[in-house]
Amino acid sequence: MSETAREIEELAAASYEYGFSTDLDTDIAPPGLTEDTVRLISGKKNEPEWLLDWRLSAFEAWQSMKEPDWAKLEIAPIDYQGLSYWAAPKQKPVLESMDDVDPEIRDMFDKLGIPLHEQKMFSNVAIDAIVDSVSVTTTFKATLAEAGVIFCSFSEAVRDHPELVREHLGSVVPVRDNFFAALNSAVFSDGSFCYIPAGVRCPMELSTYFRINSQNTGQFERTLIVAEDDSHVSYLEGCTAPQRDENQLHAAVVELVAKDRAEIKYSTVQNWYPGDENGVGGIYNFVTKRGRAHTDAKISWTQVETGSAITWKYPSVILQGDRAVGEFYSVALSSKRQQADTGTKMIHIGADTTSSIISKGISAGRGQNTYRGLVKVLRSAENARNYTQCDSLLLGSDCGAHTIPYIEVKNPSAQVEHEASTSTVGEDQLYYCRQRGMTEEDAMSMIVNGFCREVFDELPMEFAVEAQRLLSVSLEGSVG
Amino acid sequence: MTTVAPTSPIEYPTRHDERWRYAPHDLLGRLSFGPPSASADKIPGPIGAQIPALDGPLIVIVNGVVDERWSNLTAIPDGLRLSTLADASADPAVPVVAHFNPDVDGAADVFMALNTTFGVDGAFVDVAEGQKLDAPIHIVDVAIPDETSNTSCTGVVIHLGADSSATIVETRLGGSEAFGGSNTRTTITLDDHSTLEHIVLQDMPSTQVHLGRVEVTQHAGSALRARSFNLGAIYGRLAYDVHLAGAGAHTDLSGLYYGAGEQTLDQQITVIHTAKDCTSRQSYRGVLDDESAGVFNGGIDVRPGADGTDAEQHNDNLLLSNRAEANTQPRLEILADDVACKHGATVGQLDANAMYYLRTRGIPAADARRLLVNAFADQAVDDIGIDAVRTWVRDRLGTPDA
Repeated sequence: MSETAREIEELAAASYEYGFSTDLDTDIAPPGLTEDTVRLISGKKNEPEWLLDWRLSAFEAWQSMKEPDWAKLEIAPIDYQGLSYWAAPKQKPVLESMDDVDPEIRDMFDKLGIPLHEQKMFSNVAIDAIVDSVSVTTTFKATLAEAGVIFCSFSEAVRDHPELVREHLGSVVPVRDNFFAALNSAVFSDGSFCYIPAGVRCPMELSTYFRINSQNTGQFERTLIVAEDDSHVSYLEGCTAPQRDENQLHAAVVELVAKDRAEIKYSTVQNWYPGDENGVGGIYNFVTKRGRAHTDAKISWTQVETGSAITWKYPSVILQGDRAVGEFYSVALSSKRQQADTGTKMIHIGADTTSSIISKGISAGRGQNTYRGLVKVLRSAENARNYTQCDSLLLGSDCGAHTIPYIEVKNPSAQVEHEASTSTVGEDQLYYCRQRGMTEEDAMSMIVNGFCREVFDELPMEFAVEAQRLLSVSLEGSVG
Repeated sequence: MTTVAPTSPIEYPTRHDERWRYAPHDLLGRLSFGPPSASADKIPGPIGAQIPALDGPLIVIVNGVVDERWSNLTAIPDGLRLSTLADASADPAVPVVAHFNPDVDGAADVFMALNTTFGVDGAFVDVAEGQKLDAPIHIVDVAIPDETSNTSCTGVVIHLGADSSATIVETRLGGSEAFGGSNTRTTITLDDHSTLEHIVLQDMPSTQVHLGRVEVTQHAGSALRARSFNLGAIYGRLAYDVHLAGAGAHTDLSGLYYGAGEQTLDQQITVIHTAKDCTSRQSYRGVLDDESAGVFNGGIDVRPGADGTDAEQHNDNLLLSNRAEANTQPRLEILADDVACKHGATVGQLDANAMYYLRTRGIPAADARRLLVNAFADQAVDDIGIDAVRTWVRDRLGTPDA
């Protein structure tokens, strides 16, 4: 493929469209992580005693844990003591309306193409914008309140709904779950909380935009979504970050609880700074996402991962109740020197539980893309069913695509299928398209978008558009 | 055979080692190793009946040392050198060591080191350039645990010269019910355009452990057809590391593991493509009854520059009991772009509709079940090229009754 080398060079040269940084006055804690840091964070946020204790137990657990090394990732050592664990924009804590939002922050969102002042035109979408660690603005609260839906920042939830937070926090991802989850539990700054009462169908798509802004500041969001019996919610999360030369650490935890017959749909478009073609800069993204699905409940994860220098992320579903359903749809793109080790875990506990996994990995430049997944059928999971499909596309000869699934079945009535393929965009496919009068760039874009189609179809409309845009931006200049 | 002391302190694998994730570590810890003890008069009579009768040269290794009385090395055709590994190692004209493969994928483990340290004998097969051998060569390894070291170590070195062809059967058995096991290491080098059919029959007693390792280096245009039947032992492990080092080499690996009781049957397969235009096929089937566990960890590694690779891998498992389990991990690690790689894995139980159909035709449940299980397993048995081996496997599989 003679064009490939040039395509890849151009792909690598495509600049990060969202690479800018806004000068915000931030209140930053000195670098380092000790018990005092944990107390400081908790104190800054006026947290109750039980939450401080919970953080401290996580911190204690974290100290005895080791960074996981099983992923197919080459990571320069992270100096956890060299980071600052607290940063808050200095501004009025409570805002009455959009107009009160810091103009610099508003401007930043404008550059991202998600202008806050136009968000009302966004059909029915409430945005809880987070800059660094503190929730800046929350909208559409009235509409949600009418339906009884609680959607607020994590800090507000701790203040206003402590009983709900206390009941569910750590119930899906315990503090000792893994190194990064423990770290997050100890120092999480803020995040989103969402509660859908029984029988309620959330009247709008919920979305949060996370954004890392300050240098040397890890961001540790915590998201908790609780959907009571017979409720329904669709949650969107999108991320972009400004260009920086230093690696930034991000360790988030997302917990979903879907009670009987409830449904949670969680969609992510992640486009943090991936670093340059030499692997300088870029976000380290270590995320623990997990949901617990009770009887007849459904949890669906959809992710489009195009950013970050390092992605370590396995959105999972514990299919606890009978007939629970878990889904995972993923597109992961690694170009430049990006490394992604991502996949899912489906733990079948209840009878007649079903899960499906569709994963599409695209490797270009010198990117390394790994699908790592676990499908576990426990003895109790009578008639469990899983279908997994993992496809990888290689664009260039210096990249890598890896598929590492684990399938563990302890019940004979289970039916588990796994299929995977790895291939490249064929010369013949491109030739065919060009013969039909398409430019090489259009042809490549069409083939890649076609490859991802099954996943894009699962995204809510606005995100599907953004995802396609992201993909074409990433592939821009890679052909033609 | 050159003995090499382990270079680092002995560290047993743990559950955190990917390749040993599902192994019974308590049993592995009870294996003991040492220099082979004299094996004279030890071989028990009934073992003879277990050995498939093939027409061709036979070499029998007991506790890691060749037993000439059981072996048949009289009718060696021209162009074949078949001897004990000890003899071959002692002959300066035979570069035995040259056939030991470099550790291409870092898969070396403590049991390999122990094998190299304590193994002194085994079989050496060298087929001259251009020779086409008709009769299968049969290598039988028998382990009879004793108190000082309960695990035997055997080496098998196979070299096929350019344009030659051969069929080799390796049968692994145990000669007593005492706890212990065998640790075998087979090293195969296939020169340009040679063709080998290699069959492993593992049928150790259900009180013993078998650790079998086959390392293959294939040069340009060579072809390997490897068949393995992992049937016996409380823990039966067959590891294959196949390195496709020459352009246009082809490897076709398939196997059947059939577990009952409390057996764990483990297949660790890695095919490494480093040369252009090679093809590889992996097809493994597991039938798991009672409380048995099956493990399949199969990898396709395509290294940079291995363009034109065409690789496929399949693993299908049939669970026959509520307490049986299947663990499968089909890995793809691809670092070249002009490739076509596929893998698939399934786990399921007997088709209820097929059972129902057979029963409506008046076939008793137990027979119907056996019919269906045999039909599933037969895909791995059907293409065995040697009648006597095929019959042996069918007889062996006929025994586990419904």
